[in-house]
This record gives sequence, C-alpha cells and structure tokens, in this order.
Amino acid sequence: MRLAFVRGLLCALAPLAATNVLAAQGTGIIRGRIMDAASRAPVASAQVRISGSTIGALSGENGEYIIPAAPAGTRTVIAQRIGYGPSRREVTVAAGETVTADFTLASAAVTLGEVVVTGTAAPTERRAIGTSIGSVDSTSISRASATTIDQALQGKIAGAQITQNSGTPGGGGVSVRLRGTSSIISGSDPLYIVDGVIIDNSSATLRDLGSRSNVQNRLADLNPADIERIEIIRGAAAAALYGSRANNGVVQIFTKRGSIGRGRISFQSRASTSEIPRTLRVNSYPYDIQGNPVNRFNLQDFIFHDAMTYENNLSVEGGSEQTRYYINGTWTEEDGIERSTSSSRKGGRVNLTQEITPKLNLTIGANFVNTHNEFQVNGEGAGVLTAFLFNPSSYDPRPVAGLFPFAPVLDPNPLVAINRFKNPQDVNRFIGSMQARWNPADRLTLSYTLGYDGYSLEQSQYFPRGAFPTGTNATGLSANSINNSRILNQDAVANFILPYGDFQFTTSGGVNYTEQRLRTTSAATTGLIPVVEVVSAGATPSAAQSIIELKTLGFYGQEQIGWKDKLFLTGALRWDASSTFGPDERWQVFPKGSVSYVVSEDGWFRSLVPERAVSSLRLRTAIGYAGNQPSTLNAYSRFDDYVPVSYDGKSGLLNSVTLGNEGLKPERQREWEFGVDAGFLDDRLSLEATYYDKLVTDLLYFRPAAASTGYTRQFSAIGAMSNKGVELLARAIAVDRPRFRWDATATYTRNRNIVKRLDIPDFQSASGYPNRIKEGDPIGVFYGVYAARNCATGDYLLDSLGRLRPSTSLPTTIDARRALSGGTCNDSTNRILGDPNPDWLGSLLNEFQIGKKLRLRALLDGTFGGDVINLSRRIRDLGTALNSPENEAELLPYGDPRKRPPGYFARRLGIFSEYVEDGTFVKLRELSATYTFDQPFVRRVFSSGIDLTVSGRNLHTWSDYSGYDPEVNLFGQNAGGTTTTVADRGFDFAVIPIPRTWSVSLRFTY
Amino acid sequence: MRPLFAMALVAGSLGLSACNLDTTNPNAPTQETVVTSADGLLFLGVGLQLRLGSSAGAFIYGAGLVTDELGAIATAFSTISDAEGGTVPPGTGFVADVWGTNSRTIKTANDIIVNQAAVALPRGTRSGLLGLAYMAKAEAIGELLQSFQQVPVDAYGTRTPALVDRATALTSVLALLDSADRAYADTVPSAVFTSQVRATGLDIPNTIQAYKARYRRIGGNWAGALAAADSVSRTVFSILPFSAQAVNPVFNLSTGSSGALPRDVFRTSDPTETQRTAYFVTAANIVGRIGTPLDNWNVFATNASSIPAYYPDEVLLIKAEALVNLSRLPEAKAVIDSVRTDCPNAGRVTTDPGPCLGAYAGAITAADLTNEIYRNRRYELFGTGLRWEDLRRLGLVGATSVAKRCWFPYPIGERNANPQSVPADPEGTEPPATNAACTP
Repeated sequence: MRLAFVRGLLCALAPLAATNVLAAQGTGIIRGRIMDAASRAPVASAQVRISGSTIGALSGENGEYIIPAAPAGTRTVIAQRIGYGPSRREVTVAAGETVTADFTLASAAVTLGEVVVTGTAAPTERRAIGTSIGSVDSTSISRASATTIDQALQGKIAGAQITQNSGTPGGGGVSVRLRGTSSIISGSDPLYIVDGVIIDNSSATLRDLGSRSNVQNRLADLNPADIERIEIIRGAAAAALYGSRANNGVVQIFTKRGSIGRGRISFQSRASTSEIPRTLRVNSYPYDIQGNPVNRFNLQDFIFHDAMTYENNLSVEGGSEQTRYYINGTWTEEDGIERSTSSSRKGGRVNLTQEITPKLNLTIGANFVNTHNEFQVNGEGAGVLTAFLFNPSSYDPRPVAGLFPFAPVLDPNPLVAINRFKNPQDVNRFIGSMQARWNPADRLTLSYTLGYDGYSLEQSQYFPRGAFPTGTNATGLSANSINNSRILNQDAVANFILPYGDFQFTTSGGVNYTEQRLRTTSAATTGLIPVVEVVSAGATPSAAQSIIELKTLGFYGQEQIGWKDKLFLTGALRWDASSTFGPDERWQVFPKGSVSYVVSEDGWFRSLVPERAVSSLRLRTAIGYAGNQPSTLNAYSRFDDYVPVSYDGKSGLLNSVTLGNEGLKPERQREWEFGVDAGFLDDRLSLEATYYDKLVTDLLYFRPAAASTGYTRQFSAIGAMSNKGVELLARAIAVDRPRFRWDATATYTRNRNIVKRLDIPDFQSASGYPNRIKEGDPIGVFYGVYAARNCATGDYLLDSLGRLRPSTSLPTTIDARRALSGGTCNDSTNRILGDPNPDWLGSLLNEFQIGKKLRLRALLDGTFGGDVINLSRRIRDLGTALNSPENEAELLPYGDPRKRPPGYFARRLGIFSEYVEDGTFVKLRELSATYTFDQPFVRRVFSSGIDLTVSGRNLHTWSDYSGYDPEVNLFGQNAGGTTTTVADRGFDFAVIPIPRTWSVSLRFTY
Repeated sequence: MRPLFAMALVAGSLGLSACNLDTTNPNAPTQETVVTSADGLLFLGVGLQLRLGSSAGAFIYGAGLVTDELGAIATAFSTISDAEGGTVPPGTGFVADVWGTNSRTIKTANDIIVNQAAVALPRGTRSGLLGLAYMAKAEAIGELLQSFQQVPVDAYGTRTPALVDRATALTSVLALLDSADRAYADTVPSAVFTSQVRATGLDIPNTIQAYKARYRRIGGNWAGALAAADSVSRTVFSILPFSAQAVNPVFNLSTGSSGALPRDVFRTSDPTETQRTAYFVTAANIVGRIGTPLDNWNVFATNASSIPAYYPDEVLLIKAEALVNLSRLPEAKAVIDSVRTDCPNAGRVTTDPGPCLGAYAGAITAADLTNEIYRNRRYELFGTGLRWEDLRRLGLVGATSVAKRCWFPYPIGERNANPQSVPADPEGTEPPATNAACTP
C-alpha cells in the first residue's frame, strides 16, 4: 500500500517536471584551460561550474575543460580545486556558439567552494553542506605507490582508521573504519560507490587460509591509476540519503573521464622491491633441554625473500566538444615477501562521455579486470608462518635423501607448503555503468544511472598427499569453490533549482533499486591419487551450493534552502525497504537535517575580524539517521529455516537451531555532528574541526534463546553502541614562491567507542580468543586470564617452582585469594587486559615543489594507544617450541642467575595478559621524489615530458611492539560471519607483516 | 519530451520490478512449508529419530559422568573431570546438552504432533508418524526428568516455556505414551512410513510398551508396569542405528576435550559378571584425567554402533520388580532367573547382554529379590543412563556415595533467556556432602 502511494507520488511529480521543460532555452558551449597562477602549469581535476546550476565539468590532465550544454545568457563560471582558491568569471553564452573562459588559480588551503556530490542528491558546494566531507584527489592516490586504492588512502583522511591487515601481495586486505566501529556482525566497512554504482567490497574466503577472512578485499580489483577523485562521508548525518546501507559511511570513487584535445598517450611503468621490515630473532642456544648439543635454524630464512613488483599503465585520453574518452590498460605483477605468494592484476577501462543533444549527455564506463593471486596458508590451524612459530629452532626443514622431514610439533614442513601447496584465487570482474543526464530546462536536471558489478571469484586449494603425517589432509586435499556475485543498481534523480530573491531553493528527489545476488558452489575431496590435482582425483568428494539474493528499494527527497550564499538549511528523507527486513519492518525512514552558516560572509564579522587574520569561517551542524542491513551471511535470518539431515540412509529435515526473526530490521544509527571550517592568513592556513556523536541502536547479533524451545539463538537486536570523537584537518601553504612551494597537511582523529547496552550476556567475539563484547567497554577489548600479582608490591605471585600463577589457579574462595594476594587485585578469574581501539590517530604530510621539476613528499601516519595481543609471541612459549631468544633462559644450566625454571614459559602460555602489548606506531608511509624531464629535446617526443619518481612505502616503523608489525590483524576485514566479528582487532598471530617497498617509476606522456 | 517519457518509464518500471521484496530462501525450506506438507512431515520423522539418538547420547553421557559409570579421559577439559567428582557449575556444557538435545527432540516431535492434523496423510502414515512422535517426546521428557528437578513439557509456540515438577512431567510422559499407543492401535503403519521414515531396527510399538513399563515403574504404578512389561515382545531388540554419517554420540564423546570412557570399576566390581561386562566394555588400562582407571567401550566401539531403545531384559527386570512390589515373590524369582540364565548369543534375543549365571539362590524375600533386581539392572543396563534414577531410589547419592549428585543445575543459557520459569538450582555446584534424599 505504501509502495502504491509512492508510485502515485512519482506519477504526480512527472507533469510538474514536464512543465519546466517548456522553460528550456538554447544552449552553447563553454571551454577553456585552468592554470596555476604561480607556475603557469595546467591544473588537472579542477571543477568548473556555472553558478546557480548543477552544470559543470572537470579539467583534464592538460588543464582543459568543456561545458557542453551551457544555457544561453550571461553566466558566472567558477573554477576551483583542492589547494587553490576559487576563481570566477562572467561569460556570455550564445545559443549554438562556443565561448572560451581560461582561469588561473591561486594557492589556498581553504576548500569551501569545492563541489561534492556524495550524499547530497545533487552536486553541491561544500559551503552549503552541514557535514564534513572528505575528499582526496588523483595526485594523492597516484603518488602513494600503493597497490590498492584503500592503501593509498592511508593517512589522508581525518576520522578514518585505515588498516592494512596483512602484508600479503594484492593489497593484504584493508579495513576502513569511518568514525569508529558501527556494527558487530554486519560488516563495518563503508559502502563503496564507483561513478554512481554500488560495488562489492567483500572479503569472502571460500577456502581456509588460516585467517577466517580473505587476505584481499575486492576493492583491490580497482586500479588506482584510474582514479580522478574520492569523496568520503563518514556517518549517518552525511550519509542518510543512502538509507539502510550507510551506517559505516560512504566512499565514492570517481574515475577519469578524459579531457578535450588531441589524444594523449601516457605510459607509466613502476618497478618495486619489497622486503620484510624486520625478522624475529630465534632461540640460538646450542643445547636442548636435556643438555644435548643441537643445531639451530632460522625458519624465516626459508620463508621470506626480497620480492619484485612491476606495474604498467598505458592510457589514452582525449576528446572533442561532443565526445570525451579515457582508456586505460593496466598490468601489475606483484611478488610477495613470503615465498610462493604473488598477485597480478590485468585489466582495462573505457570511459566515454557523449553529448547526444546539447541537453542530453550520456556517460558510459566499462571496467574489466582479472586478478590472480597465489596465496599461502598462515595463521590459525596449519600454515607456513604458523610452522615457524610452533616448531623448535632445532628443526631443519630441508630434505634428507629427497624426503622433507615432518615438523616435530606442527606440520606442514614450511618448505613443502612453499613448494607444493597451491592456493590460487582468480577473479574476473566487470563493472559497467551508464549514466544519462538530461537538462530539459536551465534549472532542471534529470539523471538516470544503471550500474552493474559482476564477478566470479574462484578459489582453489591443493595439498599433496603426505604433507601431513596424520589427520584428514594426510591423503591430500583438493578443493575448488566459486563465488558468483552480481549487483545491479538503478538510480533515478531529479533536481530543480529555484532562485527567489535572496533565496535559492534546491529540490531533489530520487529512487534507487539494488539487486544483489551471490551464488557459491564448492567441491572438495581428500584421498588424492598422485599427480592429479583436480577434485575428481579424490576418494571422498563432497559438494555444496548456496544462493543468496538481496533487494533494496529506496526513495528519497531533499530540500535545500540557501540564503545569500551564506546560510543553508537542508532537510532530507530516505525511505528504504530491504528484502532482509521482516514484513512488518519492511519500510524504514531515515531523516536528516543540517545547517551551514558562512559567518565570514557577514558584514558584522568582517567589521570585527580582519580578512588577513581569519579569511573565512563557517559553522555547521547536522543530524541524521542511517541503517545497516544484515549482510549476505544473514540475508535470510527472518525465516524459520529447516535444514536437511541424513539418518539411517534416509533424508530428513530438522529445524535450524537459529530461530527466524519476523521482526528483523536494520541496525540504526543516529549521528549528530558540529563543526567549524576556518581559513587564516589569506587562506594560507585552513582548519576543519568536527565533533561527532554517533549512537547505533538495534545492533544485530545472535540472541541466545531458551534451549527448552528447541532453538539456541535468534538473529536480532541485542544492544547499542556509541562512537564519539573529534577529527581535525589542517592544511597549510607554508611557502608559496614561484620556485619553491611547501604544503603541509595534518590530520588528527580521536574516537571513543563504547558498547552502551548489551541485552545478552558478554561474549567472546571469536570463541576461545580474547576479543570480547561487553557492556560499558569498547568493542573487542581483550579479556581473559591474567598473571596474579601481589597487590601491594605489584610483583608477580609465583608458585613453588618460581613460575607465574594464572588468575585461574588461585584458591576459589575470595578470602583465600585475598589472603594470598595481600589485597583485592586478584579477585576475579578474568579481567580486561587491553583495548585494541586506538586513543587517537594522526598523520602529517609534507610536500615540496622545488623549481618546476622536482617534487618531494613525505607522509607520516601514526596510531596511538591501541593494544595488540601478540599471540605469535605466545605460541613461541609452547613447551615443545621454545624458539624465541627469551626461551633460552629455560635451557640455561642450573645455577645460572638468568635461569628460568622448567615449564616457566609453558605456564605463561596460558596467561593472556602477558602477551598484550602497546601497539602504538608511527610509520613512514610514503616518501617520494619526482623529477620531470621536460627539456626541449624531451618535449619534442613526449609533450608533457618524462616523470621519474623514486618512492618508498612503509619504509620505517617507530614502535615498541615486539612482533613483526603492530598494524596487522589475523582475522582480516571480518566482514561478518558466525565465527568472527568486526570486534576481532589487534590480533597478531602468524600474519605476514607489511613489507618495506622501494619503487622507481617512469611516466612518459606523448 | 521523448527522453523524459523514457525516463519516467524507466523510473516506473523500476518501482514495479522492485515491488516484490518478499524473497524466499532458496537454500532451506521454512517452517511453514515443512509442517504443512505430507512430505515435510515424513522428513521430520526421519530427523526426529536422529534427534532422539542425540538426546539419548547426551543423557547417557551426563548420567554416566555423575554416577560410577564414566570417567574423564586425560585430554578432557577440567569441567568433565570435575563432573566426575560431582562438581557441576550451572554453565557446564554437557548439562546444557542434556537439556538442549532433549528439548530439540521434543520440538521436532511437536512439529509433527501439532501440525499433522491439518495435513492430508494416509491413515497408516499418520498412525506411524504420530506413534513415533509421541514416543520420542515421551522419552525425551523422561530423560529430562531423570536429570533435572523441573522440566519443560509444553514448549511449543512459546519463547519462555514453563517448567513443571517431576510428578507432573511423569504424568505427561505416561499420557504421551498412551497417545502413542492409541495412534499405533488405530491402524498398521503404512509401507511409506516403514520404508521411508522408520529407522532400520527401531521397533516402535514394542518401544512404546517398554517405555510405558519404564515410566510406570518410576511412578510406582506396579500393576500398570507389569501389564506394560507383559505386552512387550520378548524376541525384539529395538535400536537406534548410527553410521559414519550420523555417528553414535556416545562414541563421539569418548575422545577429545569432552572425552569420557567407562570406569574400570564396572568390569572389576563383580568377577561373576564377566559375560555381561564384556558385552559393554573391554579392558584397556587407560588413566583418566584425575587418575580414574578407564576401559574402552565395547558396546559403543565405533561411530556406527547402535544405541538400544531399551534392552529386552530391562522389561523383564521391571516385571520382576513389579511382581515383588505386588508381593508375587515366586513369580518374581522366575523372571529374575530368566534374566540370570540368559547367555550371550543365545536366548530369546541373541544380541543382548547375558550373564549366563545359574538360577537365583538367595532368600525369597522382597528385600533380597529387590537387591538382586537392582544388581542385575546395574550390569544389564550399563550405558543407558538409567542407573542414576536407580541410585536416587536407593539413596546412594552424595559426595562420597555412588552417584555424586541428585540433579543437574539448570543451564545458564535457559536461566538468562527464560528467567521467570527457571527456579533456583536444587543443589550447589559442589555435590551434597552426605547421602541426600533426592526429593523430587
């Protein structure tokens, strides 16, 4: 019924739109070139736009732009770009004529005029938006020397914690948390949109590689070289228009569109070498526990090597007034620092913009990519790095008479795994979009976007016979699983701008429909015959299949009222329905409202504060609601399912122990934010400051059911979580001379997460591991057994042999515990041991332009105050491993003052508190120098010269952390599931560290 | 105008095509489709027997641990070895399993019982399904009431079922068995039921009668127990079969972190009982986690070993006990003798345990015969969980006695999710120090 009403409403609006068509007049063309005022160099990615309308364009690499459907008459054209102040010009457009308008832009750190489109229903100047919106341009991406887009964003956005979860090639798996964690199980990574098309960023792991999450998230399929700009909205206040999928924020990626002029061919080639940032020292004591002499080996020597990466991009762009194109072909081959691992990406993109009539514009984008990875097993269970941690350093894995010896404690022999195991992963992906924009009248824009993102992910696994002495895989394992994912997205929007005196009304309305389908088929076997590696070669094949479909329909409307271009009020409503919600909760409403006030435009302010001191000042506040749908893993949680069983050779059915929830509805976030944007010293220094307060209610998780009902749990709302924080972004143009320019950008992010309410008992996120979800504490705190101490002195309580005493080994009665401890500090058997959520994040970017030819850049990125649980160090304490230098103390002869009693470390193994470490780190994320050869003889062949860049990534880490890398996380992106949640952070166990990478790159433009 | 029209069309069709957000789950049928179709009910019948097997396994394991039957193996968690000594805190996993698996058996039985009336079924299929469902539900409630002081009997359609005391639960069990009887009496089960649902080796009508005898005995209805015992065929051995795919749950709990095996005291306690003990266990010299000497299972030696629905001689021992209580002592002695003189691979049923002893030579008094009956029950009914109730009746419960506890504590999950219904635990975590009278 509601749907019928909305459809009726749409129909009612249609004639309204039609009347405005009659107001249409003739159009002409505006074109021109944007240049840097100081260096006269072309400025790419500048936004050029006709004031008071949504009509505009971006400048290309050569600085040229074209606005094809400019309405006739006298118009104000505005050009602007990040790092520059806006520039305005009046032009007179005559119907059917072309008018030229060139701009020179002067440096400025303030970006109030920048136009953003994400979360705003229509392209809108930043000054009019009541929320803070992050944006990153192509140069920041391309100069990062990163493999994936999310890597390239590290350290560039305030309010974002961007963590690379491992050093595996192909991106390593990146988690992005915008303003903290907003869900437990339904994924906490933002919604990714490419050119208006919702894309998949899942991390499905179809075969077990030891991390419960893929070591690559699907954003890795996109080529950073294609990126024009990225916009980031961080919470519900800004993202309400994306409705029930926007809890975690939205990242919109815009790809290059091509620029006017003759075709420009650009070839870029990069060669990199990666190495392990540090290796762990091993037990080199020459005697074993019995005092017999032993040889010691460092298994890391067999596991890691220096690896090469080659990346090539060939692009052609150009266009006429009617047609613009951008074509790119890319080929990347990346070797991992762990032997036997690699990743390659081959693909191409064609973007075409065609003006069909002066008022109708068609944009088509097509992106095909093949990603192929060779991964290795690490982490939980059995794996290469796992074998290093579990086995004594007296283990020599090298073959004896052609036979690889089994490991004494935990197989596989790492050399067998490196040489014989196969864990390939193959992705074939197509992302296509079609966007039609029609300006039937001067102030009316209608646009329709059709998007498709489809891929197949094939993941195989092969263990040869005899790699394990016992167990199910002893006879070999062959497995093959295929995911077919498809997202179809349709979006229709109408925008109408109505000026009325000092006011300007912008009305927008739209409808969005998304259909997602995920089909998984897998087959596996053990008992392999020799040589053959396919599943059919096994004795016990098994197969499984699942099909998941999600549909979301949403309508939205927004009204923005601007007054004198300095006060803006916005109100919007999104009305969303998803097939995952129960029938009675099907339609959900997400409102938002915001105010933006550019104080510095007011006379009274100017009379008080001179322009030289405070050049611009804006106050903004916003409130909004957004939701989070159950993920594909829980897409059918509203149903009471019955599962097939087999008994006595007969097929049977039983109720699933998870009770269906007819009242299932999305997690719901309320966000309130307040901020100030200010420019100082003639806009040479800018500051964006935001305070936000987010509250997620109806958090989804499994609520335990009374077992007497025959069910054990139900997927339902179980509590609330809040994130409050501050984010600061400061930009300074420290020096701006024709031959020397110095830009500095700093970010500061502080977030406090608290599980505000939990209607169910506390629980360990991944059973048996320390991350816990507990009311009143930050999500994922480490919780467990601690070493008992003397409450007065703080010294460890030791047992009669001089070993630590776990809190669980103390007497059970409280009085006896206190008597032993001399106080109450050991009352509980478990306690909170640490918090993986950082206190704050910060980054500092310095960029220098020396002369016209040399650019230098350095980015420091730091995480402060988060704890890491070093379970890699823990497992080295295993009595049968004892392979760390620390463990040598147990092998020393009696009488040595450093001697630890036998079993000291094996006892410590059971005490989690001893492995929680401060994970504070600062990384030299990026360092680069680019020199442009543009001497006349070079330019004769290469019109824009040759760029030579020497760069480094993750070159150095300042940290007290004792493991490889405090940034990594075993459970990866934790996109959701039943065996792990987003709470599992700061979890270092047999994870490949992020490599130190040096690159040399050349770029030729013809 | 044309592009506008096209766009309106697109927007319109968008709304229309999106109309149906009521997707169905292609991976699993829902409750509505399963319980409203004849096929669905037949499949539930198969699943029900699997659940009956699982709940029987959980009951055998739990009751075995807190009596003198089972002990924790070396790799077991301390919760298992603690339970061996009678220490069972409310959060103990295997206790939750006894509660949960039996509740799930009841749930599936209810799926059939409650919904069958609205489904068109051949008369013989209905009688078979109903007989099975009533029987399984009765036995599941029966196993609960032998483990907990209060139990749920009517949990269907509620999120917070009420718990009732043992006497009330026992009345329900007996009423369910009467219903099972009536369902089976209605008509002979159809070939469809027998071939597609009923597990190979499970004799439902005789199991119904045997369970009637079992629970009338617990209720002290001796005339009724005698009548039921007399209507059980003496030549039938009714079992729940298992296989490598659906594994024997007791075997499955004999290794790993929950592992428990028979204590060797069963084998060594009576040298004359070697025939029967050899049926159940094989000597193995295994040292348990807290030092208890353990044997291996013989009766549940593999994952495909079946679990008896009841042992044929349980019925005879019930009959003998009923006769004693009805003061028909010579008849009782004759029945006891027929149990004592049964030999392995011989007798009415060749595959059941047989002590191969001579006739009873003791005094023919009620007390002596009762002693002999309980002694026989210990060796004849090992690994059935029934010993716990016997020890309660004998008053052999307490920290230093044979059974360490009277009852299990209620599972913490049940208490959290159903706080209004769950009473205080009848005992603490530690076992009662002295022999406790286990008041129901």
